Amino acid sequence: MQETHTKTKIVVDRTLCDGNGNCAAAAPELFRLEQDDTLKVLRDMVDESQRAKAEAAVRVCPKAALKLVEER
Amino acid sequence: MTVIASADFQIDLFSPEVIANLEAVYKRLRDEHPVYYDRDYDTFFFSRFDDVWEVLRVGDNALLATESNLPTPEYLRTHHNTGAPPFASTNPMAPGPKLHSPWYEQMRAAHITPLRPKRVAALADLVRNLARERLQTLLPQRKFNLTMDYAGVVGVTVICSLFGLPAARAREIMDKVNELARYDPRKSTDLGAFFAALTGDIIPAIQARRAAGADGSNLLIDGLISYRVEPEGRALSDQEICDQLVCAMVGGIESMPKVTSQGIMELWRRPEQLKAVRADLDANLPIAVQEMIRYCAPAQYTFRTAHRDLTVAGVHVRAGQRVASLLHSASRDEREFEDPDEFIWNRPIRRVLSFGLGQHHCIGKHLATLEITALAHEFLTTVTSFEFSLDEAGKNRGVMQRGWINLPVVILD
Ligand code: HEM
Ligand code: SF4
Repeated sequence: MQETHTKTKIVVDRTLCDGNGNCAAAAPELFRLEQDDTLKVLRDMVDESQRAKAEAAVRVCPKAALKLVEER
Repeated sequence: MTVIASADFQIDLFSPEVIANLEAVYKRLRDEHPVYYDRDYDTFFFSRFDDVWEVLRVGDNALLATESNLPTPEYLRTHHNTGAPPFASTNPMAPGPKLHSPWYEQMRAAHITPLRPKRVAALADLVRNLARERLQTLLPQRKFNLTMDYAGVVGVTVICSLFGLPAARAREIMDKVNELARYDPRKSTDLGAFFAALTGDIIPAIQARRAAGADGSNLLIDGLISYRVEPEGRALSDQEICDQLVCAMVGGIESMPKVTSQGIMELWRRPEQLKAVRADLDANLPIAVQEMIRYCAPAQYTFRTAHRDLTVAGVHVRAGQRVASLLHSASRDEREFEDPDEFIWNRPIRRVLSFGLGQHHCIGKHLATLEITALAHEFLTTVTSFEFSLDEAGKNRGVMQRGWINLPVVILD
């Protein structure tokens, strides 16, 4: 297990996401609501420095539509 | 943390003694019986923030409001399930809140567009102008009910415009909805009759949209008209569409005014806080509004029924049993908020449950936040000096939706 190579992927469950934009408010560098109110993930792979932001977004998502998946 | 009803502690959350003393009961539950099982109601009551958070985030059709998110005690006492109840009907399509995935999400997606952040932001001018007009009418009276006459009328007018209903109907619709909120689950057997009373207001709005071709210019209704139930390709009837929209009407009218008026009153009660917020309204009010929502949100609870056996917040729930999330108790949980019973306009708020969470999370959160902010902003900039006549004030002390329904404000300057 080489911790240095761990990357985290942001996964959105599109059937749950209702485009309320709470994640974009918590982590504007990772999420944006498009003009048509659909959610765009700006960076789906996040490194250590953005992990806390990504976790904050997962926490505030009211629909439990966001997940972080560790990838090696 | 399995804390199940013990012989020495038994309460009935719907009893008058408990309702008269709710805050203290919530605190005792949080401290001593955070998961309280009530045998008569076959329901687990969750009172801590963390546990409610966990319960409401359960997905995969495990916890659903098939029986009702606001069941009456009478219903709970007389209906004990031996297993999961059947899913709600999709032909005819059951009222939105009772539905399971993917139908719940599809019904919601078909009418949520006007309530998404960008569309709501575009309503800012409308809301501000309505607030100004209302104040111009009300200020010469020197004394009025801040909840209904001011915030209530503005809120219902916005909802009428979303439904495409004439503003002239606003007051009457508001009074009906507030009758609904005064509803006491101990006295009646179901909410259905009250909801049915709104059918007469909503169906004509749907028919008008059909007549106009449902071309997408009314985002609340047109999507439900053009929706097709797959695989049959069946369109929804007027009644089915109405059943999807009742919540937006009730939700849009009932809670926001109570939060707005009480929020302003809590600031007035604490002159140093009012002064601090006024020092830079544009910057500070949005922060204070978050605390108003935490502190004043009227909803006390929401129920779900287990559709399979599951373990949640440390307890095992069998299919057919019910879980109740005590939302107001969660907002006053000292494990989440320091000094929770104090109103502190700029307290740190990491997460909230005032709008619910998970599948049923409030569709109107952005609109409500915009309205409260605009209404408080207009009031505090237009009126320099005011006081509340609390002796004459009236509070809804029911068990379902609590809050100040009559909050007379006296204009001094
Ligand atoms: C401060 C104001 C408001 C508060 C505190 C509030 C609170 C809530 C809560 C706690 C829920 C979750 C109910 C549950 O889980 O059973 C909810 C759901 C909902 N709210 Fe709001 N709400 C507010 C304003 C609004 C507005 C302005 C609208 C509409 C324009 C609205 C429409 C709805 C709808 C449609 C649902 C979904 C109901 C369901 O599917 O069960 N609410 N709200
Ligand atoms: S917070 Fe959740 S539901 Fe809302 S836009 Fe982001 S992912 Fe979607």
